Amino acid sequence: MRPSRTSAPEVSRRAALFALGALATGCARPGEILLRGAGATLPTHLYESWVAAYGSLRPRLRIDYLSIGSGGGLRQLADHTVDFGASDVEPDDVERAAIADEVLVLPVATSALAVAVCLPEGAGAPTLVLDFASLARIFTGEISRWDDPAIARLNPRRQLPKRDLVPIARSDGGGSTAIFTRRLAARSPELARSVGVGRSVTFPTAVGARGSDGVAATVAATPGSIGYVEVTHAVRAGLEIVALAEGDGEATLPTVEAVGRAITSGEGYPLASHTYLVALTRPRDAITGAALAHFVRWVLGPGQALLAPGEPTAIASGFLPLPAASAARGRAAVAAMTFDGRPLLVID
Amino acid sequence: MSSETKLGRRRVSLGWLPHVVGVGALFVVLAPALSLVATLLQRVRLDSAVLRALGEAVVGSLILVSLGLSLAVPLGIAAGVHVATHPRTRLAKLASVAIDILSGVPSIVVGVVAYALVVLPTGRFSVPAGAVALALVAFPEVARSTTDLVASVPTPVVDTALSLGVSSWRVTTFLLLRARGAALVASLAAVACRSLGEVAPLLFTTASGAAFDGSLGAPMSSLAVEAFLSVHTPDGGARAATLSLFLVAATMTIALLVRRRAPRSA
Amino acid sequence: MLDAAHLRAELRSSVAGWLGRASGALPVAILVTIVGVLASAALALSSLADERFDPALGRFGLWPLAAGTAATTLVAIGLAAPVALVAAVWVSELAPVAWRRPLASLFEGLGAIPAVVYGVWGRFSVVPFVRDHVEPALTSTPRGHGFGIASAACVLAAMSLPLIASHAAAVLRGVPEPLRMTAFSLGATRWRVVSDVVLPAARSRLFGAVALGVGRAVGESIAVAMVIGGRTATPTGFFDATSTLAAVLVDGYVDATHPEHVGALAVVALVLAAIGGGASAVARRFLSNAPRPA
Repeated sequence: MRPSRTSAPEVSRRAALFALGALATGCARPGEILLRGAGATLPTHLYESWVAAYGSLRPRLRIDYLSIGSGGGLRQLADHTVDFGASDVEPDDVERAAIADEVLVLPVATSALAVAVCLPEGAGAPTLVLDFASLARIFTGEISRWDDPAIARLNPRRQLPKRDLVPIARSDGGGSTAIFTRRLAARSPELARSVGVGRSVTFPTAVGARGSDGVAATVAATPGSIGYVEVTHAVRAGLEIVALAEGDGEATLPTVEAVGRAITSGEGYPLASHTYLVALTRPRDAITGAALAHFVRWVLGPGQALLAPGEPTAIASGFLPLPAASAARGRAAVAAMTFDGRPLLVID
Repeated sequence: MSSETKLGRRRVSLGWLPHVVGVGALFVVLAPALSLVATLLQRVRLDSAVLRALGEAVVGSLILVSLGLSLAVPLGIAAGVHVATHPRTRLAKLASVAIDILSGVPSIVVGVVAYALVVLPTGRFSVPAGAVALALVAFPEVARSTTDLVASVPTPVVDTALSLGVSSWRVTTFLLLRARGAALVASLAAVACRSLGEVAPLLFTTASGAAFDGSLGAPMSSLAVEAFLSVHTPDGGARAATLSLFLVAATMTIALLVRRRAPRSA
Repeated sequence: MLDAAHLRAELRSSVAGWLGRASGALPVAILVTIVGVLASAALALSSLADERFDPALGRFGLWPLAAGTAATTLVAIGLAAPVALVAAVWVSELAPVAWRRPLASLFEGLGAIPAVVYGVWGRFSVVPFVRDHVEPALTSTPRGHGFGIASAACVLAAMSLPLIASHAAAVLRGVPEPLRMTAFSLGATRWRVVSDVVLPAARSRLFGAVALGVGRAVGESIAVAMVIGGRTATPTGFFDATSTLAAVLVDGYVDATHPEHVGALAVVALVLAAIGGGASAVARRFLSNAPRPA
């Protein structure tokens, strides 16, 4: 085969890229193990706290977490450029197929989505109540006014304003959209058909805002609007939060108690969710694979103590701990991580 | 001064009409900027959190712009000089068209390409990725300015220099630096000014990060990106407004200073 | 003669020539790289003619985005170009001489303000203004949020005004003074000089200035993304939240996980590169036409 002739600019460009790549990669110091994770922006503080706490136990281990969005994290995992991904929602079939290798999807903390509204006339009024059926109809555009009978029926004691509903959604692909559409689609075939389920969804009438804090800010600034955001953002923006009624249950607000109850028993606040850590079941490298397995087992064990009520991490990150049973299941699943057929947790 | 025109077959005096229309148009051009500055001033707040963010962003922007320009300027000048000094070769004509096209490619596209070229292979957001993206945006501007500057040197001067037996690239460099040095610096300052305000190339490459700790392999904040991302923070827009005001002051100052040294732009 | 100095000079000049050719090849190489990277990720073109861009439903038609881009650009440039040209003409030709240089400098200064700042202004001032005053005045059933083509066109127009005005003023300054002098000496009034001599001479270059503005408006992603409402559906009115080709890249690129979605966005980027690059190349051709004597 004749060697191809590369011109000078091509050679120098490749050399420059290589040098940049070496610089950018940030080589670990000798003797140090480097674990890289990437994913959702919401759990950034959470991962940073875990890394700081675990790092004091394992001084030779360095863990970098890059908050580039849960979709970005999954893509990096598929490209094998990170060791674990962090996502607000479980990867769907297409995403799993893109990663090709078998993955472990482990819930590592509990969180919840809040439905928040901006109704300036409602100061001092009783809590607004909605259910998934009416939410679905709001977000498909079927219900377009606040004084619609469907909403009034759920809120007999509240005077609803005669104004238009402005649904607010996320314009960038987010786990919160995926969770929200999944739950709504289960109740509304119409929504499943016309809007679909996933991270990037086009609602027929909703205005898009960038990021969860964007949704929160837009809801706060737009009278008559309704949007879905993580509870932390809703609280920080001072939004009015809706109580959700599902099935025969009574309407619940996303309190710590209601969310915890939902995760353990299935009743309680209906939009409770987890944040997930996604890793390859069979990592490419024995050393980093073992380090990751031990880190994840710690996260699902002693690490959960950082999320106990009152802990600074819990308050700052807005997450709740996993129920004991889920954590135990997760720890058992980590034992399934292998390299070359041998379980990683044994290798130390 | 008289303003007259023909309306049909009669001479009609326009009087002050052109001036009224002209001043009105001028006002429309200037008004949005006034509203913009007023909006920003209304929300600016110089508390410690905002000032710290501003400081980090300024450091980040300085690093990114200087790295990006250090890539783009030498390459851009070289390309521009080549195009200007070989006007008849096919390569130079092709290069000239390529430069024109590149300077119109939106910076968001450059950001997307830089993400695919640098971030994905290296697996992380980093300063060099952002520098490459900024360099890709700046390169065509530098090349085009250089070509125009070289072409603006009067032919007799070039011929005289060439007739003294100096090789052509030497002549060009000498003339560029001596005869058009001030204008070159001015156009480079204009390119730097533009890079300072760019968000799209950096959004997917260097993203946003905490204070610079000496590591180039990590995300880093920059003025424009931070202004973009902090629009939604629940502080009433104070951070976004403060960063934006700083950007306005910096870019307008550079543009006005540059303009004094290089009055013949375009 | 084969002495060392001569050889060194030969070597230097051939290295210089080689470097020169390399620098000439660089722009072409960069352009090819950009197109190559995007094309390698791009989707088959057949599904792009769909009328909906709905990633969750697997539909990636570019029509809604193209419609958004076309609408915002047309409205913005349609508003901004005439005003900017009139202002430029007045400042360069009709204003008191002492004011000309400062005003032209002011245009250039304003044109240096980054797009993100206009976006911040749009978010904090334009959107609420459209929502509270413009929309209720113009429609009977206001959407009530203020995002959409109206706000985006307003922000784009505000950005384009100083840009087009400063380019146009520079073009007009470039019209050779002898042209004007001759006309004056023939007894023409100042206005006649402008309308019958200067403008025709500068016409194609002024068109180039506007073309530059159009190219810039089509490619503007950040400021538009902040005020247009981020909904990838065809707008049905000026006050509907929608999106543009450029804005959808801002929102979607990093988080797109489905390969089809990424491919569609790569095509969007290619289309934008083609439009922006094409507009710029065309504009340069017009801008470099020297004014012909009338």
